Amino acid sequence: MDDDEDYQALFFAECVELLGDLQEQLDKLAAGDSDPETVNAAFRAVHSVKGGAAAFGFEGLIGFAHIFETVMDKVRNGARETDGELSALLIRAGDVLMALVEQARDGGEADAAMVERVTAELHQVAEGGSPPEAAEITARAENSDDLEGTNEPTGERGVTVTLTPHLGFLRVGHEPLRLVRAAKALGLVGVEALGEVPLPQAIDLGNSPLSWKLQFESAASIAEFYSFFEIYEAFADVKIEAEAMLEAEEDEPQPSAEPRPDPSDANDQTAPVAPISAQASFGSDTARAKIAKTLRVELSRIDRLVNLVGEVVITQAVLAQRLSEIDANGHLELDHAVESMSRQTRELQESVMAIRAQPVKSVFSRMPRVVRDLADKLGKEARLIVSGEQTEVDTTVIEELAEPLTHMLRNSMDHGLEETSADREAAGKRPVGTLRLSAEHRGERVLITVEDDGRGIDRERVLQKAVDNGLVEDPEAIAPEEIDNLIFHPGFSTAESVSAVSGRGVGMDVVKKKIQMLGGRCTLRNTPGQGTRFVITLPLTLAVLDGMIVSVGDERFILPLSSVVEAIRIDPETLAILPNGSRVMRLRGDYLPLISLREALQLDGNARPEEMAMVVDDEAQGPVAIIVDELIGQRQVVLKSLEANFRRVEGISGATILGDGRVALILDVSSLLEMSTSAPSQGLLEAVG
Amino acid sequence: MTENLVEISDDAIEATGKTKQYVTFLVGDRVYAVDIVMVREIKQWSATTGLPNQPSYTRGVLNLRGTIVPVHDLRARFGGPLTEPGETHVVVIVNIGEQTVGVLVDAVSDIVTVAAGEIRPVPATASELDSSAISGLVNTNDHMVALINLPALFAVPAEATA
Amino acid sequence: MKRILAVDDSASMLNMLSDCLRGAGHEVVEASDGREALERLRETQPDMVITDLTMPNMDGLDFIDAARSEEAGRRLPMLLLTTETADHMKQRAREIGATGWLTKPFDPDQVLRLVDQLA
Repeated sequence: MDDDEDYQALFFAECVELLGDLQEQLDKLAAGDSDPETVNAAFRAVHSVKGGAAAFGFEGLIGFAHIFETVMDKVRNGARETDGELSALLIRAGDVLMALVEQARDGGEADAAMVERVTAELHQVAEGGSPPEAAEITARAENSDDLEGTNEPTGERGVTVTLTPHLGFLRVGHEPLRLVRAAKALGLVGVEALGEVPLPQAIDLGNSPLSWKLQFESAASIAEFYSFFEIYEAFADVKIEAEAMLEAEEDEPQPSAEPRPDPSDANDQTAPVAPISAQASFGSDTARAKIAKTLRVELSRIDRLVNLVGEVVITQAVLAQRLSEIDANGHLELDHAVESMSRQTRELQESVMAIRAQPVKSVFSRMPRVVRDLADKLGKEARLIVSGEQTEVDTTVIEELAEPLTHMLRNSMDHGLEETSADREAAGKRPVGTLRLSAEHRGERVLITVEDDGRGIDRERVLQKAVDNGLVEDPEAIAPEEIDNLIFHPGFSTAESVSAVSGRGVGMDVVKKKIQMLGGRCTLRNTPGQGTRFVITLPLTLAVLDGMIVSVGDERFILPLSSVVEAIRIDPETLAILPNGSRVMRLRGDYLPLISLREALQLDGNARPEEMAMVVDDEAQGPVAIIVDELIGQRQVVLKSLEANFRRVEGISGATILGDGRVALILDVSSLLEMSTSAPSQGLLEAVG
Repeated sequence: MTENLVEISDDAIEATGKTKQYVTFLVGDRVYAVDIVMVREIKQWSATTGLPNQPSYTRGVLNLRGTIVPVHDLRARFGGPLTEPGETHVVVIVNIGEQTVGVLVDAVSDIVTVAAGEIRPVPATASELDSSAISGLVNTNDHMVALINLPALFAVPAEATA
Repeated sequence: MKRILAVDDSASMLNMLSDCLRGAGHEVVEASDGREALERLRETQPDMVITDLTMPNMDGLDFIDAARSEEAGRRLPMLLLTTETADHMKQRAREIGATGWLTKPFDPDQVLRLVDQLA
């Protein structure tokens, strides 16, 4: 049973790959690619899904994959030309196939109406719409069950099998001696050669015997005999006669001739045989070759390795610290060894992390379908332009991306784009809405953008609603950007009525929370009338982080190095207090907002004056000075989750273990800034996000 | 430390059949117990790393062989003052569902066997916290042992994990 | 114990087949398409081949066709294991000398018995 589940899990993982590939090929086809390998690859993808579906008995999937395959076959052998209409249908069919795979994997219901509609259209293309052969497959399976069921053995009886080989019987690998040996298990008691033929043991390759008569004394059912001899039937005549047969078996149907190649059944020999391309296009060929060189490894094994390497990194840090404590005499060689080890550990860690890196394509490729589905449901026309799919991110991050991206695209489709094409044209835009989804690396982070060219966020309406809901006290005191950010407020939805698409509880607050949980940030830029752009920045990995260790009192904290611009020893002369009570620090002529970590985290202990200012650059707030007692140093740390055994803590993105075994918290700079800037009255009753 | 606080007669066990083992520990003069299957290990107190903006009974986190485990002060959780932990204090590491959590107590006292029939319900007059956090009481010669319901006391609200 | 060359481009199918065969004590040589299978055939001299039909690079039929003209493939039992049921395919399978045709999903007992019968 467990094995079965393993196979299924593998099958579903494969399906995701196959369907991604399928979509790619179908897109190429739609773009007018006439390379036969494109069609072949698409055909194979559908075919493989069908094969797996049949193996696991996913009925709905088998039926649909079959009709899809039939149509693909027609395209492949040139019986049907691809035009725009057909390409569109094939793409929809790919979507339905994906939906059915998901249904088989996750349970739940695929959109029955859509499945039905696309199935009907495929049947139409398949001409006459013959009923799916999948039904036949299962019918046959049931049939053979029946056979066995009605043939309970009733003691031993004599069975005679006459086998007359055709020419080629030996050439295709049949070996009479093996047959005889294997037949013993069925109760073979004697072999007789009919006609002028040598016994099987003495048979000569060139000489094809006429027949053998095999005598059995057997308790096996007749169905078992048929099943045993079925394999020889392609190259021999087989006659099975049983004595003392049960009456019920008299009118038993002959077992299906299905599983053997039977020339007499081949009534459509004129049908064109699919041209199996021996000269696949160069591009797809090399792509294949590349895929073939990959190795599938269970993620849990890699995770174990990542964790182990993480432990090594910590131990290495402990070792380095201990050595520095005892090595007061400065043994140079020891220093070098420790240094090399530290470099190697780091390389080891990077290599291990690289194993888990994966292009975001695996999640991006699912998004066009999301947009098509929504366009369908909402009756809006939209296209999605995807770029940067090859950007690599740790797989732990990728897995978590699908959900927030889907929400964001939903939001853009539902609220972002204008209601109708006419509305768009009236605003001087092209009738078809455009969504863009892109990914790129930026330093140690990945930047993902979801953008639409719709009407933008209606600030008046958002503000009105926020006031109605009591989220905002003083509408006058709110800056336009703050209004935009209200859509991240829990439970906020700009739609007048809760729409079937965005629904309740899948607001942008969920997106923001999710992104923050991943150690990321989510910002938006709203240009009323022209569109909305959401930018997510995420760490490339959720496992390690380059950090600056700082201390406040007895506690040490980690600031992600990526957010630190510079560290400055505080000159009291540069500090000032603004009339509203907030503090600033002057730096090269600019005034930076100042946040005391001690105050922000309400750390007690004697408040000796902080000595160091860490200047961080926040997308939302610009440069900010975070003041701490001391700067201890720079260190790569292994991220440990607080949530695993506790919960998310505001201002903190996780924890790590330092060289001395103590836990240090990792600061979440943007959440820290939000905490300390939204606290003073700004018209908001509570912190947003 | 191994003074036997709870003595339950063999007769009583035989009468009710089903028995369970509990680990008992002391907080001041009160005796609490948790099902032994939930207890993972017992550690001597060591300084924790504080967490910002948490209830006062959450004493912070510690490093348990590479995982980060929160430590809660049981005395403070039941409304008492914060424990001032020293070398004699212990942290009982327990599993609550999928999570591992540390509970700071004064001392661990014993392992006792309790028959199901001997567990008495919490009186209706108990405070709201007590009635949800205590799943039953067991009386002994000179002590009352409160069986504590760890999930009710320390489980993380569903919202926070979403 | 027999050495069986199992060929399928789908890793899950291949795993399932291999596990079934290995579970019965056979040695399995795996290949993920016809071209690779041809190489394995030459290198490993298997006692039997079970191959998928539809695969990239070289499909099951072309593989069997090519294998028949190899020393290691002459008189070698070679089964096609596939969901394909079109008659012209079966006819072609017969012509190029496939020993037999098995439809997916396969019955492990049947596959093991066929190994006993043929290999």
